[in-house]
Amino acid sequence: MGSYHLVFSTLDREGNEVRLTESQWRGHVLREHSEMEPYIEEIQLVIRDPEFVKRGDRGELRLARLGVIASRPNRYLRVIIAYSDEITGRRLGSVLTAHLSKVPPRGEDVI
Amino acid sequence: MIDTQTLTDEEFDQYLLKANADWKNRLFKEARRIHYDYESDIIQLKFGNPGFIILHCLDNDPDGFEWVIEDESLHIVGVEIFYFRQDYAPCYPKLQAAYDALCRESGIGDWFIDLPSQSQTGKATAATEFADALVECARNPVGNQENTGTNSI
Repeated sequence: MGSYHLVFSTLDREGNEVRLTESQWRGHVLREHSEMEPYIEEIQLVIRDPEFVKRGDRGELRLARLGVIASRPNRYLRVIIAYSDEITGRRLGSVLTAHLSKVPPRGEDVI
Repeated sequence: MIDTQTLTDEEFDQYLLKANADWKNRLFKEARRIHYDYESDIIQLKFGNPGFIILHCLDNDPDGFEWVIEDESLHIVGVEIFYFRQDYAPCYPKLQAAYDALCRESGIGDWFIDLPSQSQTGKATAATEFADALVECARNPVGNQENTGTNSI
């Protein structure tokens, strides 16, 4: 996804590496959701330990967790991740976007 | 002003409807900004200069469609659509045509366009028509053509 300078790299709950690139953070997330700028740690928390995991129509995972941001206790922090095909038993995830919402993500339940 | 953080889901939806009774008129008076992330296929149309925003979808909204809402006022300040090029635009011939026209003027790729533009270029005209078409589709989603807007918003 564009520039490979990383804002972070972390592991999802299945042990897959998930990355947020500098270009996606600055070029997409902050341009559309500048309110997310202070919450990089919280985004990683949702990736590592989500409360909701849904699969979208095109295979992307939609993660969410309620009340992660202290000043917005009734809002879900939602993170959308696209995964590459499995290589050597692992998939690489890329954060597409992150934002707050009143409702959890829609999609097919992921066990 | 009401503390929107403390509203129940039902109260939130009621307050949202009340706060946006005039949204169509209000939005057409505001400055608009189109941002399209081509690779992720996410488009956002945002109006004015809102404060802290959240996304929200209602029961009848198509998958991938989100209202952009200012969290304090619950005013609608835009729309954000995932898989815009691949899934959403093909459902709306007028929007697809407006998208194609803007692609011809702006090129295929990421867009970051502020409206209204002072220029009278083909790009400015195409961007305005595209933004208008996007609002029109948000008001009249596929499968809900009899309504004046999604869930009466």
